[in-house]
Amino acid sequence: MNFEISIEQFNGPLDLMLYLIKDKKLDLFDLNIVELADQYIAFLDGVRDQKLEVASEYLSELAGLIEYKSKRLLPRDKSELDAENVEDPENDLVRRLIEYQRYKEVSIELATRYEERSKQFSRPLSAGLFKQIKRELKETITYEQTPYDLMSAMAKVMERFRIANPQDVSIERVELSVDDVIGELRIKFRNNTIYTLDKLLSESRSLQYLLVNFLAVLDMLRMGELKVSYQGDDVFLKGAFE
Amino acid sequence: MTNHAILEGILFAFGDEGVDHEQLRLALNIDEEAVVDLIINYKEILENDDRGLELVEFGGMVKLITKSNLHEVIADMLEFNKNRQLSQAALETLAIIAYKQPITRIEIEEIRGVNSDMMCRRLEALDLIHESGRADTPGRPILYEVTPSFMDVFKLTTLNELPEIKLEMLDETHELFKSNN
Repeated sequence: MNFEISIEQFNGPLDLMLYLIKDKKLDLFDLNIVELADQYIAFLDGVRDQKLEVASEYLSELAGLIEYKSKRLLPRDKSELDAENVEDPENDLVRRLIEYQRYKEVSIELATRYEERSKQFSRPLSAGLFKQIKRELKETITYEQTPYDLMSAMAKVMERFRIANPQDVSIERVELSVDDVIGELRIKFRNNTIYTLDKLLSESRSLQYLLVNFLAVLDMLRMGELKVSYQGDDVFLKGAFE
Repeated sequence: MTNHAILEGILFAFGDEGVDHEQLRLALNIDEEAVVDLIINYKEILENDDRGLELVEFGGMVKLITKSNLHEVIADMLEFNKNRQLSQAALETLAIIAYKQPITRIEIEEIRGVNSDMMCRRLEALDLIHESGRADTPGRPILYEVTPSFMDVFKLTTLNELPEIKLEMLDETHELFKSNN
């Protein structure tokens, strides 16, 4: 058996099985598990030298296939066949394959929509206007958020910075330490002052300063000197000194 | 100044952030029905061939975007026009979440047959999915839902616009699996 395809072409064992079923014109409703398992094993043999060490999911499905295959090959115990409520592993596999196939089809529609949308542009809200938009600082802010909130907020800040500072090609070397900035921030956050991450970083004069500022915020969060809360698109920061 | 003009100005000023119906209702001091009428009306005006913009409502936000037939003209002027493509695996994962939300990572993995931890993190970082709470099952796993930004990048006003998927009819013969006998 000679496969000229690689494991990178597939999104997992179910994807591979669908390919084999289509390619070998197997009939899934009268599923020939023996044939499918043989094809599957042959494929894995063919790509053994590729990144199989990371593709443990493939091996796990293979174990399932071999289990089905062995059951198919062994003479069946009639009482087991007659027993009700025995889960049929074949049907389960077929159900999973069909469900997966449905989502694969839908993802094609999603891809089309994504492509269409990416051809239509909108203008970003200007950095100046963004600063002035009224944002209510709620009393009920909870300071329990995930790092991903911070990540997506930072992505927005960077994007806005890029828009506000187009074609910035100047090169400057200013030695700026995170510790210095932490000192500045400690002063800023005195008296229970609350800042949004945006406000704090928008005062940066350069990209380097912005990054050091962000690192300082992260460091202070790590040390427990700051509390963070995510409300809508805004990240609120306040000191945790008391 | 007419409400059309005010709407136009607001949509220009707010750019890709967009505004929702409630904000428009308050800004124009009109009721919800009038907001809907105004939007439909303005949308029709923009459909004219001598206008380059289009009004859309993706993920609950009303905003202006350029018409798609302007794409080539604009793209020619852009230096960085490489669309960020989403991988097939990312699209499949998003489809599963969009149809079955709220859904846990384990449930996603059961359908895809592959570990989806990294994929969920990546989609979360891209602001296409977010945590919507915790399931009331052992371990209290995170539940995922799609974000308003997902709705925007896939041109969706509501999730109902996605093609119908009949998951409850899995026993029926499917084109791919037609019996040969």
